[in-house]
Amino acid sequence: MLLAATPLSFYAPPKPLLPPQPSSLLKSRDFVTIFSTTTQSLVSSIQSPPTRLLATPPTGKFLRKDYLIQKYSAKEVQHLVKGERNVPLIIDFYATWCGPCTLMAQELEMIAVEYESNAMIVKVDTDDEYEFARDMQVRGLPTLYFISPDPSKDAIRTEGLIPIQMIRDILDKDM
Amino acid sequence: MATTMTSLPATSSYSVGFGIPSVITPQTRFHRRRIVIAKAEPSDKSVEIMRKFSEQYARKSDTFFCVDKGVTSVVIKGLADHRDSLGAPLCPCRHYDDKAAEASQGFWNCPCVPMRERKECHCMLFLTPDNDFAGNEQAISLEEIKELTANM
Repeated sequence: MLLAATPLSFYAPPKPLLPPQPSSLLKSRDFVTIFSTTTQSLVSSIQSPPTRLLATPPTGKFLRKDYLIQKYSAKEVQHLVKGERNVPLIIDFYATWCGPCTLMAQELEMIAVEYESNAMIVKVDTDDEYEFARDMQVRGLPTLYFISPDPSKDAIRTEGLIPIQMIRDILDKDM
Repeated sequence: MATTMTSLPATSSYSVGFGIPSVITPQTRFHRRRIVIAKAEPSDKSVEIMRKFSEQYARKSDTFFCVDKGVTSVVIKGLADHRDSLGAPLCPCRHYDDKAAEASQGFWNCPCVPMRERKECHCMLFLTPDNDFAGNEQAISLEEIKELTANM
């Protein structure tokens, strides 16, 4: 069931869910369905109108994004950890106003360039993902978690700024 | 149900000990997404206070700022941000279960106990001369701080 992505779609009843109603009742029921998070119509009606590309974006692999390492949410990281992988995963827990985290981010960008697709590096903002950071027992920042693709190997955790060579050593030897 | 925090200053973006997500005004009535403002800037007054504190404490403890003043600037802004939101300059380079409780307890309020006792500053704000990252300066201007944190 697809709703047109225009503001008027909010007033259109989701046909499979509502029987025919008089129009005044329809509007009040619509508010109920809009504010209910379980109906599928809510998700599809909040989609923004399709954007028109004015020019094709550059295809150089290091030009597309500002930084190679992207910020991930807790759910996305959990999917990555549970999912199939054949490369090591590095999770960088940081905070916006943590000074050494900026140096660590620069080091990890260099590692991302060196290792390209041989390592997956993501960062998690501990102020956004409070519960996840607490569950992972993050204390000092930056904290790095190295998770091997081999599920029998233990994860390695480092706290504080570490030299780039140590990151390379861990990736090469312990993963 | 979305709630707005009215008791804390506008710069706060944390749900400090209240269990209520901090929400900025929703865009329209129909959009019920929680929107967390991305780290508002600390006030100039707090940045100036923490800048002066950092210079004075570096002189007093015979420590130096990092060769990369960007690190110093970020940490000073982090201290200012916590001073604004919590009332105390809690160390910005740690993750806390309850920031308000930690701020009132005081262990991690700058200068933190490890710094006071052992001159250990893991934020790399106050560096002993034998540290590889230590520069030879104990001063930083407000313009430098603003310039080095401009793109954050």
